[in-house]
Amino acid sequence: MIKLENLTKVYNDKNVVDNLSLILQAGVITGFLGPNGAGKSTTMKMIISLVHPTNGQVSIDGQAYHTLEEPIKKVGTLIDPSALDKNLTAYQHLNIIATAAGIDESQIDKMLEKTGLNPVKDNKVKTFSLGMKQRLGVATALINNPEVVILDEPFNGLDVDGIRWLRTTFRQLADEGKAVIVSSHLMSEIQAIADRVVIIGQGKLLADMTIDEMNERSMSSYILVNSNNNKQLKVELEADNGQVQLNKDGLHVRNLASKEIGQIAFESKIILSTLSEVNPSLEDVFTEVTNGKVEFTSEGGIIDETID
Amino acid sequence: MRQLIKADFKKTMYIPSYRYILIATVILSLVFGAIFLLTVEVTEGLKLSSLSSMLVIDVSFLGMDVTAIMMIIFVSLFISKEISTGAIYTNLAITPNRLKFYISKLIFLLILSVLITILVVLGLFGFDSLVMSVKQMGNLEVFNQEVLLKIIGSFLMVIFYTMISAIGTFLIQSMAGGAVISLGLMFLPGLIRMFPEFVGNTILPILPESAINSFMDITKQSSNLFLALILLISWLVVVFIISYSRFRKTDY
Repeated sequence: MIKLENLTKVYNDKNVVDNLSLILQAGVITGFLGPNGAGKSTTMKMIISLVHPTNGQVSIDGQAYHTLEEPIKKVGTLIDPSALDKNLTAYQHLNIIATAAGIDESQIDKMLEKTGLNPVKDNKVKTFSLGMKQRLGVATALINNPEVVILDEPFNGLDVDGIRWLRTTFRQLADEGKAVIVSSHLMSEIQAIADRVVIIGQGKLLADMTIDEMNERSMSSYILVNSNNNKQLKVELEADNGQVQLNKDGLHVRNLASKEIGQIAFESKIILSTLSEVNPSLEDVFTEVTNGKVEFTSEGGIIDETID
Repeated sequence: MRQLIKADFKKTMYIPSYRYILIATVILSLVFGAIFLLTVEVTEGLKLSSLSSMLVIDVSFLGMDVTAIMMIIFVSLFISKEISTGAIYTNLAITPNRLKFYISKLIFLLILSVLITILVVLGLFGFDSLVMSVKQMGNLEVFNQEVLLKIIGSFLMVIFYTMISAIGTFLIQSMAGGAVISLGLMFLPGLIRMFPEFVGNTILPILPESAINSFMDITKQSSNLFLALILLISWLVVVFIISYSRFRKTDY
C-alpha cells in the first residue's frame, strides 16, 4: 500500500503538488489523470524519492522508498521511456539493471519475451521507435516482479497490439494483487483499464473514486426519460426531490433511481417510453471535475484534451 | 555496492565510446611518453643516450599527464551522460540511497583509474627498457625508492584528478563543469606563476599540484610526503562534501 500524506512540492514559490493525500491500494489499477502541469509526474517521482517533497511524506508499506532494502522488488517504475543510454542494446540495458539490482539474469530473457522485444534484443535503443522504448521501459519496471507498478504515460507511442498487450498485462498484475498506477493522456485507455480514478489539478486532489462511484456521482450521469406527458412527469418528479431538465431528447433526471421514476410515473398514470441510465465518459467527468483547474487553455477549450 | 560497481563495469564495456576513450587513454599516454623521451634532446637539450635510468623514467612518465587528462574527460562524460540522458531516473530508482549511489560511482572510477594507470606504467616501463636496451644504456632500474615514489605519485595524480572530476561533475551536473573544475585545478598553478612571487608562494603550496609533485618530481622531493597526502585527501573531502550535499538535495 502506498500512502501519500499532505504531500506538497513547491518550485519557485509555486505549489506543483499541494497537500495531496491518497492511499493507493494493492490489487487495483489506479488511473492517474490531470491537466498539463497538474503535478502527476512530480507526484510519481516523489513516490520513488527522485523528487524531495517540500512537505508531507510518502510511505510504501510504512517505509519511505529510499529506506527500502530492495526498492525495485517493491516498486517498479517507468517515468520516461527515453531516459536511458541510447547506445545500449535492449539486452544490455536490462542486463545492467539486473546486475545493479542483483536480479537473476534469466529474468532478462523472460522480460524480453514478455514485452515482445526478443527479436530486437541486440538492436541499439537509438534505433527503437517510441513504442519499442515504452516496451523496454515496461520490461525495466517489471524485471524484479515488483509489488507496485508505477507507469507514467505507458500508452504513448504504442501500436494497437501494444496497447492490447499492456491492458492485459495491467489486469494480470492487478489480479496478482499488485498495485498498478498508470497516468495517461488517453482517457479512453484509463476508462478501459482502471478500477479507480484519481484526478488532480493544480497539484490538488480533485477526485478519487472508483469508476462506478464516478458514474453515480457525476453530474454527467443521469437517467433519460421519455413519456406520453413529459411536462407533467417533470412536475411529479420534482415534487419527489428529483432534479429534472427538459431537453430535446427527453427528461434528464438526477437524484432519483430508475425504480423510483417508474413508480412515480405509474402512480401518476403516465406511460413511459424511455427509461435508461446515461453514464458519462471519463472525458466528461474529467472536464467536469477540472473545470477552472486547467492551467493552459485555448479559446476553443482545453488544449490537447487537457492532459499532459 | 559490489553489484553497482559491476554494473558500471558492464556499462563501460558495452558502450563503444567508453571503450574507445579508455583504449585511447592507454595508447595516447604511451605515445606521448615515448615522444617526450625520444625528443628529450630537442626539448631539454639532453642526449638520450646520456640519461640515467631514473631520468629516462622521469621523462617518459610525463605521459601520465595524458592519462590524467583523458581520465578527466572519460569520467565527466560517464557521469554527465547518466544525468543528461535521464538514465539516472532508473539508477536512482534501483539505488535510492544517494550516498551509496555516489560512493559506488567513486569506487568504480577509482578501480578503473588504478587499472588504467597500471597498464600505462607497465607500458612505459616496457618502452623505457626497450629504448635503454637499443641505445645500450644498461638496465632499467625500477626497484629503488625514487622510482617507487614516482610510481606512487603517478597513481595519486591519476586517481586524484579522476576523483575530482567525478565529484565536480556531480556538483555541476554537467560534463563541462566536471572537466573545468579538474582541468582548472590542474592548470591553475601555471596561471598563478604569472603573478608576483609572494602570490605563488602563498597559494601554490595549498594546491594539489604541489602535493603530487612531492611524489612525482624527483629533482625536488619533499621531505614530508605524509602532509602531501593529507593535502590531497583534504581537497577531495572538502569538494566531496559540497558536491554530495548538493546531489543529495537535487530533484530529478
